[in-house]
Amino acid sequence: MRAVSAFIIMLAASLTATFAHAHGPTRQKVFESITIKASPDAVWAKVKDFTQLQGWHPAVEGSSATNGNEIGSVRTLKLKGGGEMVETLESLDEGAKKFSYRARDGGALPVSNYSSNLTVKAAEGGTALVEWRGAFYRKYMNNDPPKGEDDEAALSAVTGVYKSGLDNLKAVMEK
Amino acid sequence: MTRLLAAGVISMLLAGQVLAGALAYITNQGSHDVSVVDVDTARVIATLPAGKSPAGVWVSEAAGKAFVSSPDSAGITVIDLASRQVVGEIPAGRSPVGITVTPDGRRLLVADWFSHRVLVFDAATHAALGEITVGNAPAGLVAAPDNKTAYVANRDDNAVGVLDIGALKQIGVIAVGQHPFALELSDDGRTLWALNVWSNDVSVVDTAEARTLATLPVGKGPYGIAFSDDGRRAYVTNQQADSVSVIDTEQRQVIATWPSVVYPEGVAVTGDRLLVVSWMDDQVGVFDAQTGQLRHTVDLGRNPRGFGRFIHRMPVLH
Repeated sequence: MRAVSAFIIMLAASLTATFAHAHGPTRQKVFESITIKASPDAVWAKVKDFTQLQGWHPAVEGSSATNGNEIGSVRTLKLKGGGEMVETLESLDEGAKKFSYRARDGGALPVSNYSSNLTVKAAEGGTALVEWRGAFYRKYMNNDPPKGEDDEAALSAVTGVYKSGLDNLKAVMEK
Repeated sequence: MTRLLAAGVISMLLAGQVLAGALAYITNQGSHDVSVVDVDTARVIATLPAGKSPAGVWVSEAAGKAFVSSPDSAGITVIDLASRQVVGEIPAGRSPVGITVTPDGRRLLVADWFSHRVLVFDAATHAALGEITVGNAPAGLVAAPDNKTAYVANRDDNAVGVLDIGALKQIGVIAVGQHPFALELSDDGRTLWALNVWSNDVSVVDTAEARTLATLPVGKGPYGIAFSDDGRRAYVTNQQADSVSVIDTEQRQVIATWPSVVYPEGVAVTGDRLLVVSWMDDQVGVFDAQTGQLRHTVDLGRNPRGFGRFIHRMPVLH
């Protein structure tokens, strides 16, 4: 009898635990920033060209875009070592030095429903502060994701893209 | 010493002048704190620690406190509105999200997301008074002007639960749209507004008759709602559409859809200003509540939410 009630308690506990995770993936966000010893105008001129990510991101080999820097232009990024990303330019604000884009799907990254924006701000002493943000879900949209398609994999991949990109942007601009 | 004292007095005087308007207490889920924003000067005047991953907030002028829910530390942080200091932490279930205070300031209600109950506390002493078994995945909460009734969005039931606070019982269920998350109540308590995240609409419920009067289509992922001071407009943030739906509350019609911040979440109105929290850009946009024009932005902590009523209207100083 005691064993039975212990079993029921265990069952109830495991059901509760299952419930707690039965809500699917949660939205994730990555934020990375870097200060660059160059004028905000110069940094903005470099990053705002939607067709020239290969000019500063070390992971991008080349790219093509359907409509240059116009809103709605779709760029296809060829990544070093293989893989592609297809992204649409959604907004570009010259005044705020900010543009945003959305990926068609995760592409080479283990993410879903990925959107991003990049902003250049004026920082101390005439330097530039670049902020890069991304919002996404993990690649695996059901419960119990396999390794490599979980939140951790998604966060680490996007963080890696932003960090390496910003580090190289700084190197290029401070040359 | 005298100089220090004088500096203190001057800063108090300055603070007194500055703080005659409204303050916003906005939860930053990613940096585990609350930004206190002076709306008039568009400045952050304080950043207060608030458990782990704070999300929900309710400012109660009647209680003289702001209450903040932190699901990852399973607690409520209590902020004193007069000193703008953290004055207490209350353990609260397993994952508290939705939070409200009765209009008389006496009872604090907390929705415990994963355990399907609403916890009731004394808002003055912070003592736990009991719990109410509710539906699945309880989220937004709001209490009625009678101080006895409250409503909870039972998200996974597609329904709102009607709660008797004194009896600690869910006494009724009202069907709404799919996955209601946020709730608001008209000042007179007669109409309840439920934001349905999956069906992308707002259910307008007659509380006396416990039935839906109208279902208003809004943008994708409605997340937060606030009324204008006169109650004639409701503003709904559409989290997945970067927009705000403006609703005429008498006609029960969407009269405008304004472009807004990126991933808009919490929303509030104070006077002629509409505040919209941007989860993506870590800031709050301050808009003209009549025209929807952006006036300025204020930088916050990381991943701000502001889920609940987060404005403290300061008394006018003489």
